[in-house]
Amino acid sequence: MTLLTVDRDQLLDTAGLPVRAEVSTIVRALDRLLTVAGYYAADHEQYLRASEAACAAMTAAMHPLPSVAFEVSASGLVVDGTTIEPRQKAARQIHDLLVTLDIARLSVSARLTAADLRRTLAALQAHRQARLHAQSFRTLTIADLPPTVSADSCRVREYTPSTGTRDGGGDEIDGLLGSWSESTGPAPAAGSLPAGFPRELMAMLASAAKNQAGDVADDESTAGACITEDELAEIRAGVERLLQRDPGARAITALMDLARRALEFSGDPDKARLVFGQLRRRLDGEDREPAAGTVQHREAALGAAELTRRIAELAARPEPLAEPLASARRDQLAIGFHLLGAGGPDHASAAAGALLADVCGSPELGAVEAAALAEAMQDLARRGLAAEIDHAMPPLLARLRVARPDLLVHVWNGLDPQLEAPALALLWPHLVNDLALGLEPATEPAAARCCQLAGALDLEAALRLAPRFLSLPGAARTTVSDQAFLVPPLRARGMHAVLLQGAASARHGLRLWRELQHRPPDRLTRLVIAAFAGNEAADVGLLQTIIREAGTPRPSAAFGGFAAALLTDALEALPRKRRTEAWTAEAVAWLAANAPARANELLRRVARERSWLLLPSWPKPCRTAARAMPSTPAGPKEP
Amino acid sequence: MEQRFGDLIIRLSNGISHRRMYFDAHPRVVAVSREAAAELAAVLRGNGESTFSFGVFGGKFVRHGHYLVGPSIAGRALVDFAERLHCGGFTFDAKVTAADLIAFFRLGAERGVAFTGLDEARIAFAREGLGHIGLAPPLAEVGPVDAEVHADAMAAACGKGDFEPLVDIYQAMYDAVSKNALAVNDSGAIDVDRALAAGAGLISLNTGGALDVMQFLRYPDYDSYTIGHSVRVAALSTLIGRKLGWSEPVLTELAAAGLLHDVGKGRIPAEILFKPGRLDEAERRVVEAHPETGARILLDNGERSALIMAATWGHHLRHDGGGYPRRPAWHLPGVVAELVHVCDVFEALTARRPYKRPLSPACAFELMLGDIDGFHPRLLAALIEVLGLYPPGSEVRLSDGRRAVVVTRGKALDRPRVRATHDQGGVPLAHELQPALDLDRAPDLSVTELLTVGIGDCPATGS
Repeated sequence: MTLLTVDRDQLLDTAGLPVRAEVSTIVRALDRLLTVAGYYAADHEQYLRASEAACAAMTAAMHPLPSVAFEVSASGLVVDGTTIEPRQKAARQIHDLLVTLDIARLSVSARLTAADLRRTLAALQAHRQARLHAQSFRTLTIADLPPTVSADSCRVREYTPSTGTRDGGGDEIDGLLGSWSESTGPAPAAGSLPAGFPRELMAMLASAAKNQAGDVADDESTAGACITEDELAEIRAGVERLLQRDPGARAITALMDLARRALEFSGDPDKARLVFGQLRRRLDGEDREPAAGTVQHREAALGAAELTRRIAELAARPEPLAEPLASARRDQLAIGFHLLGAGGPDHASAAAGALLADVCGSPELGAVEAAALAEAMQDLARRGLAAEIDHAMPPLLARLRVARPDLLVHVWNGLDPQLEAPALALLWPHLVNDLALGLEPATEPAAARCCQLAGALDLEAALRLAPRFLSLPGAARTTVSDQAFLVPPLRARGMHAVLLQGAASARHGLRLWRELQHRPPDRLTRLVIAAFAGNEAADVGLLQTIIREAGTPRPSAAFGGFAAALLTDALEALPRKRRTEAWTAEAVAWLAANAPARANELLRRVARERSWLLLPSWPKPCRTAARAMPSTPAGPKEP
Repeated sequence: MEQRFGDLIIRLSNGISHRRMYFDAHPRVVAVSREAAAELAAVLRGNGESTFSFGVFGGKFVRHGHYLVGPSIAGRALVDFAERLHCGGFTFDAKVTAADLIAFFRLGAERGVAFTGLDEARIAFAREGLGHIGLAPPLAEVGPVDAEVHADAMAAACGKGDFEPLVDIYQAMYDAVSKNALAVNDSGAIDVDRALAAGAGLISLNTGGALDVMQFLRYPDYDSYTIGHSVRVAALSTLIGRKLGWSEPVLTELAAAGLLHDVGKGRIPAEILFKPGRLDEAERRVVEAHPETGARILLDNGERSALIMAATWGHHLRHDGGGYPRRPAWHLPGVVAELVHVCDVFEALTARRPYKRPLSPACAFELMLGDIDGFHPRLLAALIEVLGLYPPGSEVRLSDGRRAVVVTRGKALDRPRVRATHDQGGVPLAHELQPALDLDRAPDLSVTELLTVGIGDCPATGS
């Protein structure tokens, strides 16, 4: 079995055999997390999820072992005693990380948590950054590892190429490099390898050899040199051949990486030897002429067939694509409302409001946008952003009224019917404004639902909002849309009470009066309205009082007194010819029952008054009702 | 030799770009300066000249009255630097050292430093001890330059003769991003019309032309990688939009949306934007504010384009509701925001960043498929389908040893149509000799290696 013939997902050991499942799981989990860590911030949800998953997979696979170690050996990455071929995709990243950071062994406890894992990666990343920014040779330690993770590090030496090339070269290197530029064949083509790369490669190798030799001299216990002059010369010859065949040889960059590592590890002969060995193997592989017609397998992540299958799967998902302009308009609504709610300078809010007005002026808006508008308005209201609402909504709704008047009713009906009163209060003046201006061409049921919503706010709260309504265009109109009467007036007391304060007060009052006459909510209201007939337009205050009290289960004492006075006065002033009207007897009965003291005089008159000494002035039902007054003195007996 | 001039100009430009990412003493900056100094010496020696000069006119490099196509695309950092210096070109003499070039790159990288005129720029050069680098007066002052020169030897040598008409489109896209990125920090007044015009240019091409443009996108642009990123996201988005059958006006706006989607990054301090390594919490918050900042910038400029706004604000919103900025609970990102998000992630995965190496498309797809909830499935499918394993513009090695550039994907995801650029021996082929190969019809041939990613800018790695 070779790397070229096995399933690409199979992780192999150095003998080419699949590794144990638990080892594979551990390696893949960490590899996956390292990949994700490269692309997401430490607190990104994707990274957090990946770390949770990686930790769960690793700890499950470790069971029942108390810990597992990732070790770098000369032959590869050793995990739980299994040596894994390090060039494989899943192992390479871990192996390279450990090698780059000069970590010989990374031990992970079975008590590992996802947070530990993240902390470990952060510590390793910080360590790597520290190395990248190093300007000289110095020893580094990895700090801030969690207690469940430990790293056994070798001696680390930092390398700065400029320093290394200058200081690490010497006569031998000059000799090696002397004729490089003339002997490497044609100049590289555009986009090919930079001319300095081969030179730098060799300089680094020579530096590594020199450093290593120095270490050997310093430390007699270190066995042998990791590379000889002859081997260096061989490498140079190999690089030359490679460049002659392909001036843009990208392989050189890989060799450069290895050379850098060789230099980094030049203080550690074993590691340096390992890296030199890798470099020579790599060079040997690259140095061979590719045979025509053969396929050099790379580690393709996903093959064409698999990708084709995945494309079909993706395309089959039931998630249709929206129309670009329409969906972008919805995005604009989101942007406008987001910026509006985000605060900022006045001009920013003004710009956001203008954007919203622009979008709402598009005749291409539809029901989806109307629903979005409703949600957005509701969102602002729930956040208590009264100023923003009053700033943005009038122009927005005005533009919508012009472009798509049919959508207005959808916007208002899109509000949550259970919208909390404080939130509703912020939107309410604008709703009443729209009702005053009319929601045509809305259907009656749809417009009626808006009226009901307007009526959901109690009278007192509504009256407090009157100043805000009075600044809106609906308040300046002298007529109010008939749609304001699609629900019985007393089910939208607040709206009518506020509308009575606008320019439409007189006409609206008259209309309201008639509505109340037509559909009186209770006996007393009916009597009061009947008694006041003919003077409807005279007293908005009376209407306000009626709106406030009518239909309530128990009218207030003030309203009772008011009604008693009104009925008494009306009956007293009632022309004889109207005394037969149906309401009179009922009014007398109400007075007799509820205000006998106040109406005492009237009731006596009703009971006793006669014309021509014989004929009762009041109809019999009135007289009967008047006599029902508890304290009414006995009068002449009825004939 | 012409090609060598072009390489040197690109190398100088890359030096500026590297310096923007790193610092003077960083190994990469040091390496680039050394290479450029060595290359300069070799060019002068080989040409028997004592100075190396080239002009900058109309946003393009000119040499001996000829427009240099390849360097004009790949060397934008140097063009921008020349424009900032108010000069008409540069002269490098044989005594220029690597240390001189580091100082030159440093000046070039400091985009915030403005010069009032050429004299001030020359004083700055003198102060840095750059006596061996001369600044030429603007070319308009020394005589007319034929900027409309036909495809010249340089273009032919670069093998870009057929594409020359497309260069302007690429440059227009690039300029739309870079000028607006600068404007955000400068006056705050961005030019959306420029982006729309660039988008219209891209969309005016037929599908084949658009794919040709993709081939330019492989030019390295280490400088302010967000600019190249935006250009590539725009090109990718429109390719997918085209596949989805969107209308031309929508595609034009989509292209502009791609170009401007990161306009908010213009307000991120450079030390955060180009910081190598992880960002701390505060820095991350600054970076994550860029979509909202971008939306505010557009609004401040009175911009109301729905697609541009949507892409700018929503390109970091995930399909599953995550991502940033915080979106209202009632809102699901629109298809344009989702499309730009898909392209943005793919481009970021396959591009080089100061803090990471690029991924191959296959690995990027794998990663994205592993995070499937983050993307609209049909858009992700469309992305993979449009690009295949070898996106247009990618450099690949064929099974017979030839190197080739991918022109478009074929029927199978892994069998693109390519143009062979090098023979089996690695020798570059003249453009007119580069054969077009349809791997669908050449069963004996296959791609064995992805050398550079079409929409990325450097070799891809497996993981």
